[in-house]
Amino acid sequence: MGVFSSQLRFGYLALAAAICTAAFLSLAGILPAYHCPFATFLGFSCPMCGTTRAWVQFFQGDIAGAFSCNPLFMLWGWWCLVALADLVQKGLGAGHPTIGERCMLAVRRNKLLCAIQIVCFASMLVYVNVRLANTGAPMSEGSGRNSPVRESVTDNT
Amino acid sequence: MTTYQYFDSQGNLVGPVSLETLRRMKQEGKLGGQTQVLDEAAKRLTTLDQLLNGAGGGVFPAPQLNVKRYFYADLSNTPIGPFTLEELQQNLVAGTIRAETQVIEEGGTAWQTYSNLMMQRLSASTGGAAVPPPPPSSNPKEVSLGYAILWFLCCVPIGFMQWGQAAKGWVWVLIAIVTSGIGGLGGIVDYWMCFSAQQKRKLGEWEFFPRN
Repeated sequence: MGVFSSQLRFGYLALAAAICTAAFLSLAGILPAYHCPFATFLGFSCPMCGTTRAWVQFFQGDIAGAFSCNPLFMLWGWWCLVALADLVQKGLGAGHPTIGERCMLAVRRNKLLCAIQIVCFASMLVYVNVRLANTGAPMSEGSGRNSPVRESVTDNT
Repeated sequence: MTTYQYFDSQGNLVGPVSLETLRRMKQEGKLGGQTQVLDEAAKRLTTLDQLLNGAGGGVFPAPQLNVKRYFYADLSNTPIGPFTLEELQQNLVAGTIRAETQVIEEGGTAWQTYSNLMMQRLSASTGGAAVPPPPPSSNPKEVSLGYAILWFLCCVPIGFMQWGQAAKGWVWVLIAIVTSGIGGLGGIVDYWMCFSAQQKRKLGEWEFFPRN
């Protein structure tokens, strides 16, 4: 028996299901196109820019196109997966520390992993914003074997 | 004119200095009231407070009713003693030993410098409060700005997870998806407010837009 109440656990699972459903509907084009709040409101791209399109192209078999969208899409995808697993684990009644907390603490305690993460973050931040400044378009829009999944979309999820 | 020497924070004997110099250094905060001062004329140790308050000082306070005795190592590294702490102080005044002279407690196994021994005694005599501990933080797991930015941009829910709000982070992702990204702006504002608030207190799991 975990530390979370049964209602809260149900809420966690429902939230996880809602996120998966919304992500699917968004990628399928049923929901309106997603505009990244960073690029839209703050005028710069975050290091995860292009990750959604990268994963779509990856699942369509276009590996080169996926990497051109965001070379580190697997790293960002990993963390999203960890965060989702964390939510599901809470829903299943696990107590602290959850899988997400364990992973985050493991990286923070390991100087090498932490440095790699920071380097990835910084290099991608520069890369996506230089590209945005030069082309006026988000990462790899129009590149790759397939056309962009959603026109004029800059994603960070 | 009477001159004095005092032990600095590293345990070094500094001086000679005048009483006025000691008073000025205490006023400037360079010396604390419990600083050990050697009165060269009276050949005895006292605290700075006792000296400045005109109490005349006394022998270095012995907080415990014990008769611990110590050996010191002479120039040929031969143990000399045993001496009580008071006798060691007299040796210091006489110049037989110095602050950096190695001493060991009778029956002990670890050598240490005389100045280190003095510091331990001073700490014990003041209840361990010679150096006050830092004030307790209201949130000992406070997240720094660098980590806050790093994790937020890596993955929004992981960013919120740093202060125990991972599920709330997913709520913001959900809102951002169904509002085609516009709702994500609220998440950014909320994240910044949470970051500011968590520096002062621990946040609840479902606390939105917390104020300091």
